[in-house]
Amino acid sequence: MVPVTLDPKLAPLLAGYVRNDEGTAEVLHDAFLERGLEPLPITDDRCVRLERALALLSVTTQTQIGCASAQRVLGRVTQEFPNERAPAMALAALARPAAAPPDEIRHAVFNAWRMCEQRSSTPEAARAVWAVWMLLRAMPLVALRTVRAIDAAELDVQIELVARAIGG
Amino acid sequence: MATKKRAKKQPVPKKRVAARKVAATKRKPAAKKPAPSKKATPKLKKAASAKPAPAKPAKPAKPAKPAKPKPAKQKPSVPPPGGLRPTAEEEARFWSLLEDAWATQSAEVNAARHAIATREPGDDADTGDVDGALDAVLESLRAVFAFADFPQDELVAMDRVLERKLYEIDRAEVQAVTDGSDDGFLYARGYIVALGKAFYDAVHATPAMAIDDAECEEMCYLSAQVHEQRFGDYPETGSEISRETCSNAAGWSPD
Repeated sequence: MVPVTLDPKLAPLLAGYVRNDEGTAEVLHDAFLERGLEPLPITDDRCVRLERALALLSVTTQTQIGCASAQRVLGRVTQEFPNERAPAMALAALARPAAAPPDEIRHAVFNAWRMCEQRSSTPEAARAVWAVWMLLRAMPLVALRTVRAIDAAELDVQIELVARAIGG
Repeated sequence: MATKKRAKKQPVPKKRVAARKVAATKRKPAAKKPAPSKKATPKLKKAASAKPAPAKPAKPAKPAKPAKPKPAKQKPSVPPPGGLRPTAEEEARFWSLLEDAWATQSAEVNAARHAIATREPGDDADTGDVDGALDAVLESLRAVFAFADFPQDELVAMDRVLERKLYEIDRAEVQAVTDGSDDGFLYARGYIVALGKAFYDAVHATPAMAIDDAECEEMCYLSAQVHEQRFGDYPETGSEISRETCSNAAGWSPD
């Protein structure tokens, strides 16, 4: 799962960086510099660590992480749109990275988001559908942010998803 | 030609009035646009979001008051500007966003839009259904841009794409078909972009595909206006180009 450009030896360090393990940021910083790579920032901001590490993964992996995260919040708000199956179908389609979801699915999810907005559904419902739409637009980072806006506690889950994807 | 005349004479739904206007005789107050309101002349205005384009030719002479004044052709005197360009991914996201917005409309509307983009060059275009849906499409776009989770950098990127798309068809051959003076031709280009990539590409490749007197002012500044509403200022696209008429010197070269 570690990106091809990254030394596999760095995977445990990178996973530790995402998990905010003590001292990993500094060691990783030096390791990146030694390899001529742009170092990741030494910061206590967990969101920054998450996003910087996520950006090192392939888009496919980023999307799969986004799907797993969006799936969790989507399940909680489905009562808002019991007849709307497009977001769930989209996540199922995205889980099969071999074939990009057809445009029709993206259109349907966008329609679902517009309906959520116009029906004055709870902000969480509109946001959950928005997150799925962002995944379809190949913007997993935005999707993950939206999921965290729905439930800040999802940050811990996302950190674990990314750390595991790195292989740490 | 007859169809074109009919299309022009079709009653314009109230909702559409803002989107399609009859040339520059019904200009909105400058304050409604991101363009600076301090304009001293009704001719070319400054770009909404970018610095004044270095490649911008001298202001074209505006005829005294003909029925439909055309911008004077300018000879390019400086090389094309070299600011930031949208990436291929950003362009793809811009067009797909527009397609998603159109997909909220009926199959009939989208079939009519497809027919406009695929008709024979110079043939009349039946724009009734499409024009009737345009406001709703733009409303969907506006909703996306205004959504709190739509990132600012992405909004700027979308404005950069829009600006570039308007700039690229700022060409005499296109204006010869759409007609319209400074603002009128800008709004005509807004209409071409608003109809989506297929129509845009068709017009870009074959200007005869454009439509006479079809305008969409709102499209031209949609992302810039939402940026101003959300963040208090117009986006800095870094493109060094302007969306205003006659900004693309190469498009108005006699050659």
